[in-house]
Amino acid sequence: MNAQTQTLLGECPVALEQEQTSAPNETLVACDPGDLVAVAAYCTSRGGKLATMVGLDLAPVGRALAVECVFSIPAFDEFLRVRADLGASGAYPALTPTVPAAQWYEREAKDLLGIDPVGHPDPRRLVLHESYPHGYHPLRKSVSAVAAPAIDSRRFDHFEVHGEGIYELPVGPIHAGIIEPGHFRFSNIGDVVLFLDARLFYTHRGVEKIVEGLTPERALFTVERTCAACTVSHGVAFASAVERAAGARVPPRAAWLRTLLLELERLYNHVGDIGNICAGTGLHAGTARGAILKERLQRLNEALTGHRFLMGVVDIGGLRNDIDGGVLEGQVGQLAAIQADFAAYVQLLLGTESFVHRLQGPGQLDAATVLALGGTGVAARASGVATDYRVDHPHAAYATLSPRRMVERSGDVFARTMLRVKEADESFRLVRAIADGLPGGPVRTDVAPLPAFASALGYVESPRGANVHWVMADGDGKIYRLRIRSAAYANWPLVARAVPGNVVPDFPLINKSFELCYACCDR
Amino acid sequence: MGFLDLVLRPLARSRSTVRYPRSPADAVRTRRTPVFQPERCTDDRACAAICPTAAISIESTAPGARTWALDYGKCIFCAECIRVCPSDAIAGTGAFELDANSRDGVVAPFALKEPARE
Repeated sequence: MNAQTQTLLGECPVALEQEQTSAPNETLVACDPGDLVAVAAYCTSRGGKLATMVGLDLAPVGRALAVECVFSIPAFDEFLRVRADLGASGAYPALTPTVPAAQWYEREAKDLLGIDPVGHPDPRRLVLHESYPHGYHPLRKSVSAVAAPAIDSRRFDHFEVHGEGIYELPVGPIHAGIIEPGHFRFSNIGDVVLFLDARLFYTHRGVEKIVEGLTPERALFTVERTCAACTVSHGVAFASAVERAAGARVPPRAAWLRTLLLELERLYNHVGDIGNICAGTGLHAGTARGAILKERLQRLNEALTGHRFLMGVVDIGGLRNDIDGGVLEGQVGQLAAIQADFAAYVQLLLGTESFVHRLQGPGQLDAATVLALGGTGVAARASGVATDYRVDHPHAAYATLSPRRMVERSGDVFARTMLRVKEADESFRLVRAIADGLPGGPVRTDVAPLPAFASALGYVESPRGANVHWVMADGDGKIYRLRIRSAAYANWPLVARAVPGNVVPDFPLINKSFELCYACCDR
Repeated sequence: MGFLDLVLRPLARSRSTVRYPRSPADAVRTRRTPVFQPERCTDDRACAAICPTAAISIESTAPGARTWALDYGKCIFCAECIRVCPSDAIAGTGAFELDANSRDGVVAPFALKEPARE
């Protein structure tokens, strides 16, 4: 533990008992459930940001339910993990009234584990819809992962806005095209949206439950497939959580190549997202051009790794396969041509006034809302909140590569578009820097079996923001509990806040400017 | 000229797409597709044990006859089976034309030699 963390803990109004962790920048402390609100308020007042919150069922080891809040402290690259044993009732005073960013985590722990955040302002179901039976908490250790619960059809709770001239517009969960399912309930007056209630988690597959009891090597295959568009982010975050719990370090070449994969993932996502924003405005030539650029980047992915979405490359302890230096050199040459075409494409878009005007204004989000709700990634940076785990918590090889952190101020669709343009340019630069400075040596090291009940975090800055995995081993070095906090999970509540005040036809455009994954969020 | 240029320029260019399957596909395939070579199999079953998606099955189909089958509909091309096979009975190939008209069509069955053990 560094001196700054010691000071932070020393000045905390609540005395905290420190426990053992293996990762250098993690501090685990135990706290009484009654003190959790005070500790959380203290951490946020000292610049801490809620990075994830994990519910735990420790019944098989003679304890009961527990909850752990993880605070990211960007000022000195530290994660403070505050754990509270809750007892069998699972009740504790809710954090949400004090730390609004906790809202979804607390609702999720209530659904999946039966943990009861007393005084939560929104006690509705979140992950398990109303159709699931009462008292069914699948992440409890006594519940089987394969036994199907009895599904009932029940009307779901949504917020209603009443008043003269107000009407509701239900959209989804099935949408046109190939996008994922989500139900959006708009309350409108005229064309203007007054309130948006987004209901997600239709693609909840129980990824966290499925991997329990698997070896980390086996679990990785499933974890990587949490979401196709963020597969490298999930793979690297999970693998590094396991490595940190085991006290292992990956070889330098593996760290550099993981950085390469993360940047390639960011590139094809950002470029593809800019193309899709064109679709949101009806600028079809722009959409088509964006799709071509994305296709070229995905072919480059395939040439480098054998997979268009970069799956199956990351391994526990490094990478499954090395990337040949000659092939990399050739593909970086290709990348220069793609970058030139991308620059011309952006010029073309910015020279189309009707397009630019359409992007300026809609979906405005202010920094205060982003900070309160714990927003991350592109959505946060476009509203002037300078948060980027590549800088705040340097992982993989980012400490050496020092990426530039981009920020936009206006917080609208245009800001999110331009931020992606800048970040894509930075990613082109980083990929070249990686190819130039790539160290030699092995790409994999053997990772010792996980110590009994060791836990650690793994984190990356994914194309959509911070992706945080929390892993705990069981007594045999297999997975006891995994909590995946994707960037989409942190940012979906922001979408619902960015839409009111805009007209209904701008919703697709605003939604595309966030371009959040559903599968990543729903797990 | 902006977008007008973008629309007109391709007219002067030759086609970007390829005439697959009449001419070879330009797919770059570096991920290996497992293909089974039954004559080499020593009935070790390491492949079926390691497969993360249970795509490999070894079953008795008739008295005295057994089948090794790989379901390409489940295979995620992780190449773990290729790595663990002690007798190199699974080759990593560049095959990619794995489509079929039915679900059963993507399952590749091979008759196994009589069991070597017992």
